[in-house]
Amino acid sequence: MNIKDQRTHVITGATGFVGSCIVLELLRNTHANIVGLVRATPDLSPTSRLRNTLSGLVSDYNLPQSLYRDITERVTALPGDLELELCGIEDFEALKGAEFWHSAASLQYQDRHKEQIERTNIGGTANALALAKAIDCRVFNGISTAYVAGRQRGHMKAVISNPAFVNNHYERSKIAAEALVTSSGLPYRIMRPGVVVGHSKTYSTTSTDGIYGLIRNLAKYRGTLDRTQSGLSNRRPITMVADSAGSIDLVPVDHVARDAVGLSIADAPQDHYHLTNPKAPKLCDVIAECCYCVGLTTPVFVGSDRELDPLDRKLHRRLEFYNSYMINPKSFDRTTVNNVLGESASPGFALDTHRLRSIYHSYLDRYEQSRTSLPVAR
Amino acid sequence: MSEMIRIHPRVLSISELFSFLSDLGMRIEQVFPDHPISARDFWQLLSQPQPRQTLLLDNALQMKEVGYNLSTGKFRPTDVPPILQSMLPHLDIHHPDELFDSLEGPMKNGPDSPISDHYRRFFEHLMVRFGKTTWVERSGGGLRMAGRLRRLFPEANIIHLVRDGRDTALSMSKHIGFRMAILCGTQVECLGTDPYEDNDRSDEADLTDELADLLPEHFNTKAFEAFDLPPALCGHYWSGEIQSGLNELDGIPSSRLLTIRYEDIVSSPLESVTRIGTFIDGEVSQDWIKKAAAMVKSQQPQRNNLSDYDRDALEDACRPGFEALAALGLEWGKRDVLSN
Repeated sequence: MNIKDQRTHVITGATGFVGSCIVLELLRNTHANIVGLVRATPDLSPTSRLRNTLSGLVSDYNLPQSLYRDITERVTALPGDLELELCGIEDFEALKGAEFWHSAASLQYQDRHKEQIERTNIGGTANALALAKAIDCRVFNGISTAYVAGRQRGHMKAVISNPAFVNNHYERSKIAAEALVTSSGLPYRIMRPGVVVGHSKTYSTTSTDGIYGLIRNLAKYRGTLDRTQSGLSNRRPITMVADSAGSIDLVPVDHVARDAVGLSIADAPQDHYHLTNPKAPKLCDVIAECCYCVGLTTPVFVGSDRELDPLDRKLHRRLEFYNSYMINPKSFDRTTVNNVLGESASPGFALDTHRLRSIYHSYLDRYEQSRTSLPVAR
Repeated sequence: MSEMIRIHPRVLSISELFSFLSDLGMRIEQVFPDHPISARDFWQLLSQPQPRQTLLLDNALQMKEVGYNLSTGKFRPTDVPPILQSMLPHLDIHHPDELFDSLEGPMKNGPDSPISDHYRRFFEHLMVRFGKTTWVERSGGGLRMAGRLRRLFPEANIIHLVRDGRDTALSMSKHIGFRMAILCGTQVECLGTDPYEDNDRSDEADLTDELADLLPEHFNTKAFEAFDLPPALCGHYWSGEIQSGLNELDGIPSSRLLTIRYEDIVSSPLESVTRIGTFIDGEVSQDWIKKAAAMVKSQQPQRNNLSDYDRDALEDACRPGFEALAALGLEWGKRDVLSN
């Protein structure tokens, strides 16, 4: 443990999937105090809400029991709101000089959510930066996404992204947010996770986005097919537009947190960092296992939506957001991470069939239970 | 078909009862509860406006099956009871509101009963009212309820009217009621709940913009008319209905099941109407046969207007349905290309 690291860390999105794992990693590897900016709810104080979330994850991730005490003694929360000036924080004297982590974000992407996406991801980042400035933060860690690369293909260097290649409002908003950070005048690190999946040991996840959104929508598509014609999902192969030879950067949340906190502890310089998986799995395997787990046939991959029949075109439109993963294959350069962390960087996580299915089922089992009984079709 | 039956001297024509009671097929379980219900609850089933059909009327999307005259009737588009949408205007075009009012007392008074008894009492009441001796119920898309109807009315005879799946699918893709049913089914799967019964929108983000615009709280005519419903999707639906419907009808003796092709009614109306009339009621009057046959109109199939892409996809989608019908000796070929 880094004994000298007793600074305070302020974090937005601390109850979120990535943010909460970063908090737990900070607790395990530093003596730092953590202050989460957490939206107030009528039933629980922000501190209680954050501590409850983290305590649940200690169990879900099978982490050392000593973390329960760390959570109680070293984690607090302030009622914050990214949509307010200075995130709604009025008294921030105690936060002076802290390291700032901004991981809160909207993962919406549809046209109808454009305003909300911009309000949260761009406006929220501006408010977070304003607060970071007000507290003279030591450094601003902006959690972005590796998929700001958009429609680009090939091996992506960790550099400023080009908004000309975006696929959707989400990607555009993340690039704009990065631009705010890099032009803020604050010392910064832009951290870009891949497609974040559950814990590498237990596969547990609190996320409903990324690959989980893809698998959920495939499950719903199966339901729609079978509602249209009983058993149609079994009889009819689905066709998807994808470059099946490419990879998709699935990275466990604890690996993301490990690299992120490692960069912080190492006082990594101002730069862009890909928190990705050097052993990213092949897209065809990832999608085939998604389909297997939801009861769809093994998909046929084609190069263009002109090769899709009308039903598969409907699916293609439904999965529009995931085109970033499926088309224009790309890998992510980790030189900036490796230069700082060396051998302590995440070694990569190979995702074989068993692991992929475990990752999917840790979400699917919970999702299926949450579905109330639907009206019968006949 | 319903019009032909309506002018039969002895047969009560019950048109679109189950389709509207079930709110275009989305409330089938409520229409066929598996436990006894009170007479008051039965009246509630007949009289309480249903959300989907109400939304359509409120947005001036009136199916051709809806015979209720909103200009002269006492109900507004937002509160037309399901039996007043089509069934009662079909029986009495001039006084449907009065007919509805006259039913409340008799239907509300009665013992708790299985749903089949309630329906029988309802039909019996109307037969007496209109001086008929037997009844025929016909609902669009009724094949999906065939199994339930067979269990509820095991003594009933069944007419299975079947049309070329390609033309059926094309017609469905343009029909207001079927479009609404299919988009609602998709919304249910995407949301994980029925948006007309539940305000939970946790999974709203999983809806495409197109489907989100058609949630009940956002519904508008422009979005509905723009909703993309490929004929092939309807073709898959048709194939599924044929396959499961034929399974449900399996085992019914030929004396109680009449399967008749729509194309045969159009090409040989006198012969077909005679078959139908004889099947329903034994004797048929020549007067009725002539009048009913004169009602038959052909509809030119529109599938030749489809692109090759859509036509091929439609053929492919309907193939399983055709195969299931061919096993019963029912086939469609070039002779079924109708002309005016």
